[in-house]
Amino acid sequence: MKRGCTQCGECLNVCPVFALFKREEYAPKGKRLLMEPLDGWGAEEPMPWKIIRDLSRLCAGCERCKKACARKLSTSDLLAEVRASHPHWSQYIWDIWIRRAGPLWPTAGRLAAMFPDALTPEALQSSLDTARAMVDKGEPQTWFTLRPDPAWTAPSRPVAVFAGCTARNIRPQWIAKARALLKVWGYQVIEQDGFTCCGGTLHHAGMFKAQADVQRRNIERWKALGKPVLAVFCASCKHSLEGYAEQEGLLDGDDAALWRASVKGLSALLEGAIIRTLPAAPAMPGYHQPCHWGDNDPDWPLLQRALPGLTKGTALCCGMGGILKMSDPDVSAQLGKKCLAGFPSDCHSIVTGCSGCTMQLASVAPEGVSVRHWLDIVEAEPGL
Amino acid sequence: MTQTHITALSESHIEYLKRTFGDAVTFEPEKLRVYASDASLKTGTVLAMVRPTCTSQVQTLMRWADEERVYIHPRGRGTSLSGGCVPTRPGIVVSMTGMDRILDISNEDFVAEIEPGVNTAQFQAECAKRGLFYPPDPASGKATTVGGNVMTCAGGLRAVKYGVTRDYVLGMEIVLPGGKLLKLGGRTHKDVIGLDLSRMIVGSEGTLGIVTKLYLKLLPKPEASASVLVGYPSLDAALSSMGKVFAAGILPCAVEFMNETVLEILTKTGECPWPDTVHSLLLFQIDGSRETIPLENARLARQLDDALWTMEGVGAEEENKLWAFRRRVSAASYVLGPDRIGGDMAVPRGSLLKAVRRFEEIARNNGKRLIGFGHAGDGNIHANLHYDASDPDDTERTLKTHHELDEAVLEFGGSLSGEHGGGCLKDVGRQLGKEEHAMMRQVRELFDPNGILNPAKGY
Repeated sequence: MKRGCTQCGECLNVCPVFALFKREEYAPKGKRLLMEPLDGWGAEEPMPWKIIRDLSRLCAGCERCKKACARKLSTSDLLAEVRASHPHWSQYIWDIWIRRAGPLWPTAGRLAAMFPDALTPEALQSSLDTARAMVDKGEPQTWFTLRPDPAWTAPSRPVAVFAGCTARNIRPQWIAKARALLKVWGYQVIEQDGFTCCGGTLHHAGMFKAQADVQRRNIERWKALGKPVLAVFCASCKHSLEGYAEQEGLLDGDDAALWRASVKGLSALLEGAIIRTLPAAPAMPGYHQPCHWGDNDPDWPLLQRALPGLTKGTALCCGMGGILKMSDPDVSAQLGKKCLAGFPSDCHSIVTGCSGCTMQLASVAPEGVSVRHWLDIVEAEPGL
Repeated sequence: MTQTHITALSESHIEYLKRTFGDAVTFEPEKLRVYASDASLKTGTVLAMVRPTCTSQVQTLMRWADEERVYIHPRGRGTSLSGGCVPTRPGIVVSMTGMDRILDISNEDFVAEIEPGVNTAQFQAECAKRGLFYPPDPASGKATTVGGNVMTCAGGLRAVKYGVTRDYVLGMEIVLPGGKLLKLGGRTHKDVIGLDLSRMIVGSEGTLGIVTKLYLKLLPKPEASASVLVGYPSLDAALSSMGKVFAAGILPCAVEFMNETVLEILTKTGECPWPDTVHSLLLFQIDGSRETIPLENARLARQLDDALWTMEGVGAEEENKLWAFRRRVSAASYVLGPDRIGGDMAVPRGSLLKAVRRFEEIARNNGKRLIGFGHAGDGNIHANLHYDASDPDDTERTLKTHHELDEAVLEFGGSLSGEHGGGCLKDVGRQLGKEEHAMMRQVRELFDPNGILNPAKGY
């Protein structure tokens, strides 16, 4: 069933890289036409990888093209496969950064914050901005509170928070907030979850062995904890975790079905929330919808109720997905800026539901514009 | 026409192009690959790609190419199913995606001025924001450019009521081979002075010049719409029912049909709400004011009393659920084979049933299934055949079927293409009279005496 690109062009309108350059060669179909001969399809002689590498790197991994494609071809998956067979130094650095350097992230951020702009070589500016965004500026604001309906009864199945790398390393308060909300809802919350990276970004990098390693560890941990519900507050982590059930040999039939049913967006677990919007909430808040929620964004309905006037940005991906951040930080930053340009000019406070999107947009936000995960602006309100 | 066209760029050519166009010209093979083909999947040789961002760049290129006898292949986003963008001879591809500005949308004049690289769906959305309506709506509108639509005179779902792209082109600026810029028509809705060259250029498949600006007519956006999906035991029953609707004086803005094979593949590939007795579908859409929609809906329902099953939707959200079945057809079709050849023949509306049944018979005789759907309201049939290109026998039978369908459509007094154009795939001489075809070529030569534009395409 799956064969090469039909060149229908449906991927162009949804591709953030095409939106930036308006050139067909940067769109998914342009990349597929280069990659497919390597994959065994296409009448042309394959081009050497070193020639096409630079072009192929320009993918934000948002997977909007897969959704738009009649054949459901994922160009980011294809790029991952090609990267796996043509390793490059940037992939190894990414692997080390994601899997092993987590405890160093806050330090990297603080060091970057101390580095004066005037002394920063232009080529490093985007990377430094991202590192600076890691530093928690410590400006807690509560825009709304949440509590369950008094008639609500939580299911007895335990819930563990799947935090993801960003929260674990540099935003531990998101984990605490998520747990507090779940407890107020009456869930039996597992405190010591012990999960590792979801593996999503390792997949995009073509680091399949490293990805398989973290997947295996997460599954083992899930089983050891008694197969709880997993509350996820990062769209990219959830997208990646959902993929576990489709991966051959990772979960057997019954466990695959249970896993599929267990991975939940945190907001989806906060059923029937009673919301109190506070005066600190801005008049014109913005919402960046993470690409990786696909058609099932559990945050949007909750935030819409909580924040009157909440406006979705009109632009595409923020540029954080995949390994673009590492392979081409400047293009990644340009995508982030274009994403912010999709909000009304009087919108200065943006929230989102993905750790990566939060960091990315915060790194490119101009002075006076804040970007927060929605867990930064909510408090659990104990039931009355 | 002269036969001295070049098939490879010399060092001095390359140097000139680099000096003149800078970043707007590309020679790297990995970047040119995408410009070597289009949705027809045919390929050609690209010597370079130039992506102009203004009219004067197009003029400079066309002047140079004409002098040097370099073939020029303009393209929008390369979505042609008939090979309209394929470099049939080694030449320079001109990508118009760099000229994608909406210059003006006027609520006073009901006119838009745009560059040709604007995406169709985005343009429609910008008009809608201002309460205006650009009706041409090719089903591929999310992928196409308006310039590409103009060059193929794209139709679409709403053509039955609102007409095709040609009906909305008031004027244009077009650069001819040699670099001359023609300014035709403009913001005036009525203009009968001189020959209406703009409308002649619409549908000319890039053979007369490169359009750099368009003046398009807009309408007030209809306030409301409603759709109804209607199920029948057969296509015969469905089209007979459609005849009653038109006879009753109802003019829907869209009427789509789906044959029995389409329903089979939809049922195989996803949830379907209709009962097993339904084997063919019609999908109607009506539009108008909030007050008139319920009345029109009731009129329509009275004519559809012979249906086995109906599902109604009022407003965008409900209607989208119904149109999702129509949109699913393309993806669902792949259950019949991983490769596809599409047809878009058109026949007089009254011959639609006979033509589809004849096409199905031809397909059956070659051991194939015909996926037949399309715009029933204007007799436009999407006749798709799926096959496995790695199977030589299947491929041969499919191609044979495809050619026989072309022959059959002419038996009904129809057209080889209602929407996609002749491109480089259709033998238009089978349809056009000898004198008429010769006259068209003379017109072409008048615009392009050295034959540099889109050779071996169109007519």
